[in-house]
Amino acid sequence: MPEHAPIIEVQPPRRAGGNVASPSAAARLPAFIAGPADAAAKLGALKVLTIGVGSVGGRVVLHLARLGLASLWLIDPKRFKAESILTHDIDPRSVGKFKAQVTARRCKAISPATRVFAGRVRVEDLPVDAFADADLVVLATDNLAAEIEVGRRCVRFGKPLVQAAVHGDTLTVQVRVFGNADQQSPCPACGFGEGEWRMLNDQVRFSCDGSGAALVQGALPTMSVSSLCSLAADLAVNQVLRVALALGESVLDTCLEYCGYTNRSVSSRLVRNARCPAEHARWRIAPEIKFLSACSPADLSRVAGFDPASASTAFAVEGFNWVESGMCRCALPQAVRCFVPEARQRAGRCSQCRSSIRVQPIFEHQVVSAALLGAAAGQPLANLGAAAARCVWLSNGDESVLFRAPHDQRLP
Amino acid sequence: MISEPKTPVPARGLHTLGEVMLDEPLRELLEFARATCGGPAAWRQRKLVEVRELLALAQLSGRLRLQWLDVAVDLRAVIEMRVPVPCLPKPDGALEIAPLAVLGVIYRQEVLVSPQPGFSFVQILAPGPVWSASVSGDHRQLLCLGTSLPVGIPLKEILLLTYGALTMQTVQLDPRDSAGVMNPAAAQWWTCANNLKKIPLSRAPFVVSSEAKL
Repeated sequence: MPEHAPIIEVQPPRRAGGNVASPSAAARLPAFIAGPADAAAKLGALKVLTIGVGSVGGRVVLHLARLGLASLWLIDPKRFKAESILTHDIDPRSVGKFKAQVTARRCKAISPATRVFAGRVRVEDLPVDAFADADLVVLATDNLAAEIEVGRRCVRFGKPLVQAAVHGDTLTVQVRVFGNADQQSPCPACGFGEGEWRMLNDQVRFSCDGSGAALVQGALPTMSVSSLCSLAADLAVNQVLRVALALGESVLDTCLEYCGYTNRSVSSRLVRNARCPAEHARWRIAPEIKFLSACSPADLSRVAGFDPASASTAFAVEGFNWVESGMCRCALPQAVRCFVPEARQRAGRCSQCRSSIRVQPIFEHQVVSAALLGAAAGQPLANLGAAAARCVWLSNGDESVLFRAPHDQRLP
Repeated sequence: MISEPKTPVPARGLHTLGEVMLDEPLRELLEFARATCGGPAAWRQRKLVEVRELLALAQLSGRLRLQWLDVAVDLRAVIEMRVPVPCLPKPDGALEIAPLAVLGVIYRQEVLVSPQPGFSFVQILAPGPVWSASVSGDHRQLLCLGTSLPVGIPLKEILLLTYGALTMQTVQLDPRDSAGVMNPAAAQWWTCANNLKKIPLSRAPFVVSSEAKL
């Protein structure tokens, strides 16, 4: 995770009267039938990223903490509301506080040996490689835009995804497990029907302040009962165990549905929807490059096995946009041709009129083609304005490769 | 004697833009787009459909002229649109109406899977300063087409919304409503009785004689 991300590692709580010895997670771990002999060690090495720590996800992570995992990442931008007490496993003192932080502290208290991180951010705002080091991802949100984004990121890095949801009116719990073995695997958006796409359009609103950042999610709160949320969390954790320890028949690419009216559960296969508009692209992760900013886009292309001169090759440097030209007081646009930190609206001064060159969205590129880079593709990133480059993404349209600089804040 | 057709001929409209035969210069532009189009296969295909419809719309309406096109990553175009554009060069001066707008249009891959902010598609590169409630008052002159534009919205609809917003055939002037007002000062100016009667700047439809040209 980049340093600027509002993600913090939670420290163990200070206990009055000295520390109480924490039990080993293995102390109550059963000998699973046909399970691995080193189940405790396997769980102790597991890194799980959880998106949404509300009425379902909040309970999932508490269970996971009890399994003594290596790392837990809790991502949720929201705070607890007064109504949260009705469906969440919280006490009234938590109302008004950030879900991720409160829940992360509880996880850390349960399992001090687990590294627990809390992120008060939307999944869309996580660094591009945030999922790369997780072993498994849990998704528990009603936000359809987040579902699509999480699905896309899990496909990119081939991470198994366990998604838990409830439908209160029908007393139904659904737990879907996406294996993401390859690009032909299903993603959450593969199951969207007309209703979901319509709901997605209704859920997302933006403020017209021009910042682009002011996203307002109109998602309705979970209308359910606490017990149903709890059941969804329990079943989701069971599927996590099945995946992590390879217990029983594979549950990858399946949907487990339980209906409280009939007390029946049904397991069905999830399949890729050929018409799914979400990107199902797999990214290769290249070995870390110590001095990433000393490399040129052309160097990285060659390492990736792409033709650096091909028109189909494209680059993106995380945290930077390529600015082709901008406007100053002169009549004509001025060439800029370098990477500029995201959200910065000025790109140096004009050599003729000495006024600031202002960035124009039409000439600012998050992803820049080799054709546009031209000769600049041969220059080190540092010379092109991206000395602080941490992640570079390359694509030739069919394949993508991610280059990363070493980073001490990555998922441990 | 010519017999009446047994089934009614469907009316031509924007949904049939894909059937319009493009003139030679526009066909060349489409070929250029095909040769330089990048990205995943599905996105490449979608971009070419959008470019074809853009060119057909330009041919039909006579309102659009493509100055620049880049389909390597996003679909980016600089388009001249024949449309009245309200400008206020001096804060206390008279309103001037420019006869055309130069638009910077960006159509990103994200549009396929998520709703996009209404201000993320169109920037008015010229003239300036545009004096409209839906155009930001800063140097970027972002045009807001609504609080959120739906997943998969076609480019042709964005251009029609742009035309509606600039002619002020569609207008949002309530400065207390952050949804749609990019320039509250302009919104207030336009709500004065003397200025309100100038709305819309034109009642002409985007495509004037579509049947004749089809």
